[in-house]
Amino acid sequence: MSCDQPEDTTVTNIERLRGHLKDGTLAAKLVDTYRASAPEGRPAALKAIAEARLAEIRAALAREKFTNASD
Amino acid sequence: MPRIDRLSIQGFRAFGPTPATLYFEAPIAVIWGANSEGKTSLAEAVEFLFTGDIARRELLSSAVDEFENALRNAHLPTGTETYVEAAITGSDGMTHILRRTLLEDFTKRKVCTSKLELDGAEISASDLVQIGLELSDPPLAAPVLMQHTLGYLFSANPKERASYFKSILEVTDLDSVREAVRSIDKDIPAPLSTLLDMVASSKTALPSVSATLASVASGIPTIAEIESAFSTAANKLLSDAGETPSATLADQLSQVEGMTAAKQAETFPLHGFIRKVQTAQWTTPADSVWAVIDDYKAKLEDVDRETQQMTAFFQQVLKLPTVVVSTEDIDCPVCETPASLTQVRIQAIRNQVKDTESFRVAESKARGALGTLMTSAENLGITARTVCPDFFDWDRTRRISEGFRTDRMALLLDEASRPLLRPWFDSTAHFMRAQRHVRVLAAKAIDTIVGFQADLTKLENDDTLRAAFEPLETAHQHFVAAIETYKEALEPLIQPLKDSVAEKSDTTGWANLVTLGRNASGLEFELREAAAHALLSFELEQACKQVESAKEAVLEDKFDDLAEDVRSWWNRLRPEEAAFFSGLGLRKKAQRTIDFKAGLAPSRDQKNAKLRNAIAVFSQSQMHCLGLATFFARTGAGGGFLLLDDPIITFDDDYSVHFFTAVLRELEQRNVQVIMLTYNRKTWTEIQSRYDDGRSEAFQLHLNNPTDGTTILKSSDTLTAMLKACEPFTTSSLLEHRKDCCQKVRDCAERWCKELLVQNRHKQGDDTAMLSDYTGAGGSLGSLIPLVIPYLASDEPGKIKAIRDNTNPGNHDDDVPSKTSLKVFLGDLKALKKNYLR
Repeated sequence: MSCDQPEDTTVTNIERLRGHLKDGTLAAKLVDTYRASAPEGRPAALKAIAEARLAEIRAALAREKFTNASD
Repeated sequence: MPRIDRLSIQGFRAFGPTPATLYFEAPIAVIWGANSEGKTSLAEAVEFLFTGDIARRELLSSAVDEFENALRNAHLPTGTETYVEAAITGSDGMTHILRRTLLEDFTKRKVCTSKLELDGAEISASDLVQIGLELSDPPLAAPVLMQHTLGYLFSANPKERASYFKSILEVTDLDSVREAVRSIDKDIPAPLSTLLDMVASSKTALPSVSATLASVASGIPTIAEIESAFSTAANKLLSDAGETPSATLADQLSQVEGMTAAKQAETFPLHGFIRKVQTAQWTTPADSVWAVIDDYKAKLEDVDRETQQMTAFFQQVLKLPTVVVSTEDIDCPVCETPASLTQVRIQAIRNQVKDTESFRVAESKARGALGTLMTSAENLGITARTVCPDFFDWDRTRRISEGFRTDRMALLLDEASRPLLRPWFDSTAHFMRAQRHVRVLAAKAIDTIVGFQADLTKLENDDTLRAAFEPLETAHQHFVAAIETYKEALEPLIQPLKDSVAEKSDTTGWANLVTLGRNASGLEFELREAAAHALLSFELEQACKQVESAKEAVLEDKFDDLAEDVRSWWNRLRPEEAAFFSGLGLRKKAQRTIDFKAGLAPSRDQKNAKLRNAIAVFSQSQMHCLGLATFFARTGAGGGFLLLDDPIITFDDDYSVHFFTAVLRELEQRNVQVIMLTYNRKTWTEIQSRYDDGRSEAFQLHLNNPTDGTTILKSSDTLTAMLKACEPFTTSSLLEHRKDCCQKVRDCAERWCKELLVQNRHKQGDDTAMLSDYTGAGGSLGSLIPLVIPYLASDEPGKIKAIRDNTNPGNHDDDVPSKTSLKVFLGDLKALKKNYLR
């Protein structure tokens, strides 16, 4: 029959997608997390990545504020 | 991947009332049939099995009614089912029975209907995926290639070509990745923006200071900068109102606040709604308080009143040294009666004193308990007063003087809010009644406690005290409920009222300004949170765009891979030609539109080729090759099966060689089951010859009687088929038929010799031995017989020699063997085959 292999193709597509994303970027982290998570756990796992990034941004803004205050 | 193990067809087009069955065992099945013997019927039966339709109808028909009653055999007896059934080894490794039964053939107006069953259960075509079968998009949904479908592949318009490759090029699974990334932002709770919202509304409400407020809301200013901005804004408001601003922000804000209150009070006394305490917190006295009182009551019964009065005297007596050290009866130290103070009496006095002291402790605690009850009752009274709006405490005169009247409120409210007044008024009345009840009960409890405090011994009967406290808890609960009702009624009313009062008193935004100015740190926090969230949102949006770009890049990669795959199949079919398939072209802004690009090179090395659209420059033969390459790229990627109906009929011999070798070998290596139908007997034998040792098997289709339908003969070994083909001629009285039969018998004899020779060379370890080693003069019967004689038993050479001598020259009419002779020759050959070939 048709020789499509949906599951394998899916994996290949996402692997190919990841190959086009630069390591260390938020997009790359999110795609890595998407691949590593079970479908039902993906929203929470992706949200956790975003919240971690939000915490980093907060910390950076706080440092900036401290620096400005020191100046 | 799935493969077909068995195919049974009944009543479908050329197939008759009894099922015709093919069992597929080898990777390649080659089926020969002359014209109109049922090849296309077989190919379309497979199409029908998987799709419930035939592609020919969509590709070739110009009107719907052309296919009326096209699927059911025209000669089929009424009541006989038309069905196609296959035993399929699924991707799960299990054998499944797939059957499609025709329910209603095409009519002039309607398409056919059918029932598809998998292992006896009715399913739809999309369910086939559960055994590893996934159909392409129509019209070429099934992996069946026929002449008219081959044409479709290269003549279809570019968009239809793209549809054919849709599932190969599909990247919709990546849409779910992008959507998952896109939805993250929605899952992150929005930052608190109460103060920022106030800034936004104040900018509109206070045009004179909007620029200053705008500076606060841009970027992340420091707290000092925020306070400075609000000081500037407050100064501006005060100056405009003719006030002299104070020196500090706190004082300036107080000035604004006072000015706001004064101006608003002229419109309506909103301060009447102020509630100093928000919740009516009160708890009923603990049980331990009442336990203390009960203990006191018990002690009170133990100690009589006179003894209580004498206690101090007895304590002094017991402290006298003579009493302290006495061991015997002594004189009474008070009345001096001799020996009247016996040891027994001293002990009795000690007991009395002890009881009385315990009573004093209980009495002290009881007084404390009464104090606790008093505090509780007072607290309830205080709470009942402070939790209420200030206007509760205003008497009628003050309410009139302050203007706290519902008719004024009604005038201030708009049409929409005015109906809210009544429920608020009712709840207020209820609230007041509940408050009054609580305060009366609390006052009564206080009065009762005062009475007991004046004479503690009255606690001997504390019924009135308990009765005074008993209703307090229930009254408090009702009071709390009344407050909630009041709050619910006021909530939708108060903001419209405040807005109206602010507007009428020209103080809109002033209160917000004061609130903001007093909460610079909170505003700075909200600004920082907003900036953090905005940056995260930006980064998530960027991530989304990167995923989208990557997805497009994946599509381009896959496109390149597909082009490479088509090219690789092309090169197998037509290697080293100056005109060749070069690639697939993506049309700009129409990524799913495919152009076939032809390379036109000056030499066979394909270098320096000019690119042209293949449709415009390829010959018909080249177009067929392109169609085949396209079909294999789509269906021959790996595993599965495909059916080819005379794919090389228009080819030159050169290309058929490439098909037999490079293409079929590649499909074999990719574990693709090939079922090939052909009209060409040379093709049929060639494939068997090239793919021997169980790698191929052969079938023949015969349609002797349209009523009986097409029959299938498995004839993997060609010799059997050749002998079978001789049989009808041996009984013919016609001279020409017997002449033909002579040639056929001679061909059979030559074939038998060749197979015997190849078989024996294989036994001797010569794996390269092939039938084609014996061609030309070396393949004639005269040349072959000396070679085979060494392998034959003593009486056998005569049989083959008789065939040699009597079937040649057979052209002469007077030498043509009789029917009987031909039957003997045929019988001998069958025996030789049986005895010598495995």
